[in-house]
Amino acid sequence: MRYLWRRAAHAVLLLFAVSVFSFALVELAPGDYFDEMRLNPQISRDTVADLRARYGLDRPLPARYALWLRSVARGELGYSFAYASPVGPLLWPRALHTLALTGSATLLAWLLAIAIGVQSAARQGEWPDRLWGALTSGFLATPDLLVALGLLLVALRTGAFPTGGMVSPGFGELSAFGKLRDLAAHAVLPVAALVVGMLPVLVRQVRASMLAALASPFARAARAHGIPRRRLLYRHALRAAAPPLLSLVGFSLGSLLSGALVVEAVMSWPGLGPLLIEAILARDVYVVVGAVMASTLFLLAGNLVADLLLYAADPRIRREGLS
Amino acid sequence: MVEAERVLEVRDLTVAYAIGGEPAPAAVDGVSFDLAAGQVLGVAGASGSGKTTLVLALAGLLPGAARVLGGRVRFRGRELLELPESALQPLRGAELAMVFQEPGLALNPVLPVGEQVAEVVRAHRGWDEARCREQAVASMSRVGLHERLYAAFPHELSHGQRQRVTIAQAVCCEPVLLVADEPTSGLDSTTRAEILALLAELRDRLGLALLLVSHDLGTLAAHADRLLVLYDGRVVEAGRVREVFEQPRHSHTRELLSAIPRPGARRGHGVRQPRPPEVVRASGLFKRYLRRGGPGGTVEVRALDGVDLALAAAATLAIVGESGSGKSTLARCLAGLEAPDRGEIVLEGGSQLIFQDSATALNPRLRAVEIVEEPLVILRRGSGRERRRRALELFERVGLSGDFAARRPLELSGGQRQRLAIARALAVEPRLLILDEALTGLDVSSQAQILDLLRELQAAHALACLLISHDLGVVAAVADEVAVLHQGRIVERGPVAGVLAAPQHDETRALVAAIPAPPA
Repeated sequence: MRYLWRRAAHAVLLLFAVSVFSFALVELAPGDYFDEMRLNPQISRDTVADLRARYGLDRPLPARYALWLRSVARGELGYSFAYASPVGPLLWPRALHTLALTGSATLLAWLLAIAIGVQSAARQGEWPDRLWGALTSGFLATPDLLVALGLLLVALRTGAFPTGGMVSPGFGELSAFGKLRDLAAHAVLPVAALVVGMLPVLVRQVRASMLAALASPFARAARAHGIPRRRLLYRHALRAAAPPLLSLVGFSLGSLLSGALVVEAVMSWPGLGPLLIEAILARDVYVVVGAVMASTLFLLAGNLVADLLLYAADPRIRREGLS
Repeated sequence: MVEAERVLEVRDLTVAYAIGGEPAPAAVDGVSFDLAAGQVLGVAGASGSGKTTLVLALAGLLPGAARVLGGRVRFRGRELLELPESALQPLRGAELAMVFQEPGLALNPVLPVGEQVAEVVRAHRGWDEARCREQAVASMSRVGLHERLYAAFPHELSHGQRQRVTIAQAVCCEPVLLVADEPTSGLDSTTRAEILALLAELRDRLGLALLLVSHDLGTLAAHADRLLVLYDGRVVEAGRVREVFEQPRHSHTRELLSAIPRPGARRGHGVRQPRPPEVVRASGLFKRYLRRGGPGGTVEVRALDGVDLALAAAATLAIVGESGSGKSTLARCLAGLEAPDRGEIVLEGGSQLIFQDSATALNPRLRAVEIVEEPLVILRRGSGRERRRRALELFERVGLSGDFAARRPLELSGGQRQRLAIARALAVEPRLLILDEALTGLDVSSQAQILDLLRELQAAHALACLLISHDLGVVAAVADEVAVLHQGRIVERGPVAGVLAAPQHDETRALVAAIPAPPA
């Protein structure tokens, strides 16, 4: 429990630091949202100056940061110039979409990686193991963007899956089951792109970790006690191989989130990715900061979950306590 | 006399390891023996004699590189070597059970130990969860483990308790044959005696046939009916224990016999020189650890509780004690790896620490010569060529031939690895060498050779040696003085012969009593 409090305090500090840092970075970029208006002869200089004053852009950075903090406290997270709305309500549905995408991709990727990695390790050197070895090497060398584009191409040619967005037109009229099916069909491509991006690394880690567990004396002892092979693999070896893999969960989240940015943009999944890119281009500063904060929050939560899983999986850590 | 049921019959068993496709000389070469119910057969031999290969071959657990080239293994009327894996799996653990060395490694670190016993029951009996658990608890209590340890994890148990768990796993399905491969290696002498007594008791109670494998003839002598001595994969001696001890036929057996460390067997150093300079003096060392125990509570462990010691050049002090007595903490403090909470250590020149398990203390990816060069590289001593020359010199000094230079640690035997560790330690010319259980796990002849090497090095370099061990027998052969550590305090100290002849403290008496003695 004390551990959780410490983690929470740590998370708040980190979020604070990230917000200061992203504010500073955005500030370093030249210009602001209203610069383009200034080039428009139909808008008077005074109007632009009025707008800037209204949104506080004429104030010094610390004052703007203080204003922003106050709006965070109200749950608004600043104001989007492009959408003419507070950032908070804009961000949350998007963040949920990203969460749904990355969450299901993570789950699927790990399930596949465990199945493939365990079987590869169990039959080390045989042809399935070699085949997976070659495949993972190949995909490791392929950029995520290429994978996403390739998938899009296949989907377009075959027409098997919708290639953009999250729902079809007329989504509202569908039955509950129909809604779910429509969502799932739209999620297939982006999830597949993310899974393919993550899978090679995970498969390799699972395989290596399993090989180490299977080569250890306790695996030999378990065989000597007549433990059946399946049980040996999944209960004994996989349990022992789990701790290093669980530490990887948190670590892999970071790369998954940045991968999701690209995939969302390419497949026009209405998550944080397209919003962030759009906001950066338009210098819609509070949206940028908000999206960065949401990503940070995901990362923190993911790592916390990974640590708790590790705590549950490894009695040695339970004894020493998390630190 | 009624003939007991013959359980195991091994004939001309020959096993070889293929190295890179090339067939190597046989690791087990034409071995034959019989074993009947209720009997104990001791298999002795130095490391590399083929003991473990033999054991693994019996259970069909040989690693992929090993091939059975010939012979047969008949177990209760079945030809084991001809059975497919699917037929062996139900046999293993149910009728033919095994106990391996290093119980810390033979247990799954992330599963509760009781579960691991129940798992064996589950594998062989089609019982429901509750009944498997019941049987596991029964098996644990049979080996002297309380039911509340059921949910404990291996790291929460002592060495001896862990070995009891592996024995509980082995006997939970009431096997006919129990194969124990070095079941007591790495255990302190008191625990070792307890484990051996437990095995003997199980043999009597369950009518087990017991195959007891060890490098320690002293251990086997006390517990086996018959002995088999392996040398280079071949049986060089077979017979009743007493016959083997009284009339060893093979020179290797005589070597093993003479290498059993006996109290009082220490060779004299000759006339004492005037008092040599002191190398290390430690006074009033205190060290405590806080260990999390139970929910929320912490337990204070006093590892060192006011230890004083002094050691002169060329002298050897042995520190003995059970596991948990503070020996290793003392070693780490003297080597500067840990700071004592209180107290003072004055050290003339450097000290080097040599660990029990050199396989884990040496980087497995480096070649032997690089391992010895590394301290010189770190200290920026000499050019690359000079370092190489110095490393090869050190190889020679510890009795390793230059051929070993290119090998990696795991390609060396335990004794060779320990020599390598010593060569690395000598590279920085220390004044004090600390050997923390550095002889544990080595077979007796390797032990004797390393002890000889230490004596030589001491004479040549006026090295002070601190030998830390749980085995009074081993250190008695080489130390000048012995200090007995118990719960962080030195409870007795004095010249070796005196302490052995008239131990004052209970702890010392227990350690003396646990020295395995050959039958006289």
